Amino acid sequence: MLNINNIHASIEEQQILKGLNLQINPGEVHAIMGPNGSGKSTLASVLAGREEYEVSEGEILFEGKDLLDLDPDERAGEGIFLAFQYPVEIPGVSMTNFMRTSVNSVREYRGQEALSASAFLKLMKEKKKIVDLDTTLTKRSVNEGFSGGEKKRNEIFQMAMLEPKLCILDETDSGLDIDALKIVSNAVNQLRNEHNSFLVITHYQRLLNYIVPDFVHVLFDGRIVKSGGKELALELEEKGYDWIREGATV
Amino acid sequence: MTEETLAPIPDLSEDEKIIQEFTDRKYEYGWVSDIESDKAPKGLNEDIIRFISAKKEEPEWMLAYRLKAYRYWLQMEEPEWAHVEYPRIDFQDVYYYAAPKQKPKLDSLDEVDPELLNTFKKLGIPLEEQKVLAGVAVDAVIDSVSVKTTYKEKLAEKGIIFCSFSEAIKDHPELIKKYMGAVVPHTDNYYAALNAAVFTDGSFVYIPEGVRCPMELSTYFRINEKNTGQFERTLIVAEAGSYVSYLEGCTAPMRDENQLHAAVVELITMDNAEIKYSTVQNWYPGDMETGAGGIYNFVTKRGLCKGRNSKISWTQVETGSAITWKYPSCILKGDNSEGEFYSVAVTNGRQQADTGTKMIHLGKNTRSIIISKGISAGKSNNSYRGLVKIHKDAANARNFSQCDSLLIGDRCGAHTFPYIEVGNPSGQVEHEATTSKIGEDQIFYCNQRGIDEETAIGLIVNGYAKEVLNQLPMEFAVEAQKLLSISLEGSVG
Amino acid sequence: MATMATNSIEEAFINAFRPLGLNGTRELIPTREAAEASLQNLKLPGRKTESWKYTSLRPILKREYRPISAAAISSIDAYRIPDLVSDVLVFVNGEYSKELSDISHNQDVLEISALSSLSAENKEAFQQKMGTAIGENSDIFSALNTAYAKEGTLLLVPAGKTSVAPIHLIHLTVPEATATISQSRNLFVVEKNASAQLISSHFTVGEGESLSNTVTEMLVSDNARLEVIQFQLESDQASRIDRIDIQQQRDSYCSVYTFTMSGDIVRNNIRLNLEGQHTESHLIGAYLLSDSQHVDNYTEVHHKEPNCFSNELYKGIIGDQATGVFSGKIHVYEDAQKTNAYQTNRNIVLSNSANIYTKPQLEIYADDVKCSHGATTGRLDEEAMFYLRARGIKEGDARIMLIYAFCMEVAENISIEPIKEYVSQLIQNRY
Repeated sequence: MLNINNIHASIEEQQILKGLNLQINPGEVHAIMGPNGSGKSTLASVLAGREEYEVSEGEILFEGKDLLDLDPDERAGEGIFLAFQYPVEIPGVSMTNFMRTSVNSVREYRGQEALSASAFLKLMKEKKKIVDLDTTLTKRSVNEGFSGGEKKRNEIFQMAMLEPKLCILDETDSGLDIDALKIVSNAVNQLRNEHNSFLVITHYQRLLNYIVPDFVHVLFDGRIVKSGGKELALELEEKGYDWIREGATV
Repeated sequence: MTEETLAPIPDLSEDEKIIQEFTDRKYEYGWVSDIESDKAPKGLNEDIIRFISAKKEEPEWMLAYRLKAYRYWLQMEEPEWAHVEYPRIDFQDVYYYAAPKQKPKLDSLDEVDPELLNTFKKLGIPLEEQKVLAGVAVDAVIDSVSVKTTYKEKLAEKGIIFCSFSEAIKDHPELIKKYMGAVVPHTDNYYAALNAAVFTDGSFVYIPEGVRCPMELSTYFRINEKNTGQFERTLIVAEAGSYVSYLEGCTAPMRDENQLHAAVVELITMDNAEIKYSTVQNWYPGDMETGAGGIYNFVTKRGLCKGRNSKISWTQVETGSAITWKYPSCILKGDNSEGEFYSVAVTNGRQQADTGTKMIHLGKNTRSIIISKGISAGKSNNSYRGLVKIHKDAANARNFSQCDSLLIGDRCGAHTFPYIEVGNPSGQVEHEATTSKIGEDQIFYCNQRGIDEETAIGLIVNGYAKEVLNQLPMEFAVEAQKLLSISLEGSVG
Repeated sequence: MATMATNSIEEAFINAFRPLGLNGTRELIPTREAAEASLQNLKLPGRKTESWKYTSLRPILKREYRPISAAAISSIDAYRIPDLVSDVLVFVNGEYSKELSDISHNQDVLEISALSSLSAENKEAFQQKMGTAIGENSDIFSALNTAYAKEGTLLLVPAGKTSVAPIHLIHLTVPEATATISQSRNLFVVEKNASAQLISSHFTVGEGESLSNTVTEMLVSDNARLEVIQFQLESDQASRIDRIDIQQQRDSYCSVYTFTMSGDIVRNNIRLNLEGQHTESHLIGAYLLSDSQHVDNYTEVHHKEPNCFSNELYKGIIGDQATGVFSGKIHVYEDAQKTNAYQTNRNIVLSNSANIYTKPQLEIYADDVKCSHGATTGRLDEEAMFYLRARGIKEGDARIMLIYAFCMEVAENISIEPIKEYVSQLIQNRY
């Protein structure tokens, strides 16, 4: 589904990703772990198409298409969903209006008919249950006045609405208490199936107790320096990142 | 289960239309409808004024008023202080009178020129049954002469007068004599003087004591005749304890020459009366690249809160015109009276807008609120200019002003010129203004959810302007949202 | 007839300046002739001049002026700032007083001198750099100053140097029986990586009408730092037209504080030109007015380069028939992206006849900017008054407490402790 080959990316002339390779097949859950500044969020941004990041080398193929050729909204249409680490507030734009525009834009991209108002509202109601999203939240402006936990749940709610193929969770666990973490993880697990894949970016192993990955990769200095099964996360938890750091410099 | 009402739906379906309309970059209302017109020769002199007055079968006092205003205008100088630039207007190169030919009296819509009806249809103005269902009476004006007024009878039952200004001069001379020029005298400013001399038509509304007008009154203005200056005059008088909501909407066809519009609007509220005046203005803004052909919109709008506890509220959505020069104002004379100004002004291409308000606090405990949202894109310039004046005797007056500017692209300008004058210590004045760029992170967030850039900007701008749009009557709000998005077409990329 | 009378008043006013520049120092300012010639084309501001909308010069113009003559002062102890160790330059009626001055502290690090005692080298530096910040003769008061000023101060901080003590300029005016005019011309140059702190104080000694017309240019070079604090403490018959033009180069810092505690008609023009990137600037002011005082702070900030930060904070307390005016223009030029420009004007009105005029003006031609301005005018917070009184504080004391708290925000970031204390005393002594 996703093939990242030797990707090099920089921001403001600072090289962050230095030859990263990653392959994700349908139905797989991959976790990316690594210390601060290793390039985790850069990877998420590059996949979603944030303009500030410049890709100087390498390629990213998504279902055979060159992702780097596509605009961010086209990537969303292709089925790439990024759950933001810091979801932005958009004052005055109601969640309902925003979601309707989003869902129908993506549907249009996929050659599907736009949802009628009532079908849309029905879908909203159904998907909100998955993350236990308070109904009043969807009447408010996008992310405005949402607590940290509500913002993250709202991201997962949108993921449920858009039914993406590849979901990137960028530090979704940060700022969540244990109850919220469980709600978010349960929602993700409900959405998992053999057709979609997940890329879970996290600093801590904690989240991976709830969203159990098939593969764990350690990102260090812009490259994946170690890959393994879910047990690698535990090993990291125990030994810390210094262990990797030493290994990487050897 | 009742929490999901259907309320957001109309606004959602509008969004779909907006997306469709993004594909059509041309000025939507840019065509010339072919209605034979009856017009005076170009130019301005006393004979033209006599011609207009005669054509409209006006009484002698009206002609005298016009001539007085004209003579005053002759010795005035064209103002230059606004933050706008345009070639000098040749006032001798303008037609001052043009009326669509029609039968003298119309009893039903069937008798209206079909071409004219078609024009309204293209504009999307549901003059007929839809309006009746929506409960809106329409006084439609095409190039200066009132063509058809509906619902007059129903309003008449309540003693409400809603008619063209020309009719009012004939049928209600005592009211016109009493109130015309009471708020905007012919000596007020250059364009007000010009209007007083050559105004061709407009609307008159009179709400008797204690009457709450049962429907929104609405007038659609439309500049149609080539090279025709449009000199509308509107007067609304709300007697004690009455209420009226008035809607004004404007579209104009595409032209090569600049067209001048210098309207005057006067509002008066007596004790406990309220007037809510809403405008959506989307006249032709001129060519996106060169600015050629757009409307010059130099308007004087002013309300007088004459009575105690009275209220005047202006709401405007300004997306059109090459140049907008307009400051709907409130003179808060009655104690406890209240003035409001809610404005969204969008400029794109080569448009220039210099707009804002004046709140003049004269009475005790008077309150005013100003919410202005300026959005500049393309190579346009958008200025807020306002005055809050607390007179010496205006004890306990309050004002709150919020003037925000949003910039889209790096070749436009956003300017703020507020004047604050406080002459009474119990006055409380708060003014806040911000200027910022449209949020790139917000656009990216929308993009990531599959929404393209222009739609994203439309969404964000509508959200930004929400506080003002919320003030508009429902059906106007939908049109206004659509306009905001359309007028920002081509602002990215 | 009326117009002739007007003309003659204006002519008489301009002519009153001419004798000021006659003796001795004409060659000091090389651009005198040009400035004098420009007076032909420049007009005194009238009611219709937008930048003088709220300040009428009529009361100033219609007086008959004579140039001020020399006067003697025996001690300046009353005019110094308590506990402040500083260099002191004293000017009495515009003339430099060497006896009363002490410029020993900084003599090894920088040049500080009255224009009348410039060394040949400094004179050359002065002549070369004066006029840089002010530009063309576009304003009649600065043209009059250039044409006829003969005394003032040169501060020159060489590259890499830092003043070891603040420099305090004390200007004393001893009025006479007829109205008098005096002028002062200053140039502060802070070269690359250099830094200085400068204080100026204006006092009136005795009774009588006076007018002072001052021009100060400040050139702040790359990575340099200049802090200026002005105290305007003159009598209610003393009028003042002040102009400061600042030029800041890249990575520099400049702050100008203006405290106006008294005076007749006071106009402070400050124009800040940001000519390099990554600069930081603060224009701060407080004005505490009573009787029929009229203070007009008129500022312009020109963001010509990207990545600059500017902040303005002006606060006023207006009592009796006094008038407070604040005009603040922020101009962000087309390519000045990432500009951060903030402006705040807050006023408290204490009486029924006081007047406040606020006129912010934002002209923004770049999109990636953060600009804001806020203005408030109102009475002292009644809730707070009540709270204090409920705690047993007398009304008068409560009022002073609140006024003091309101004003001291302005002095918050002053780094020199004795000056902060001095400001605090000035505010408390005012009521």
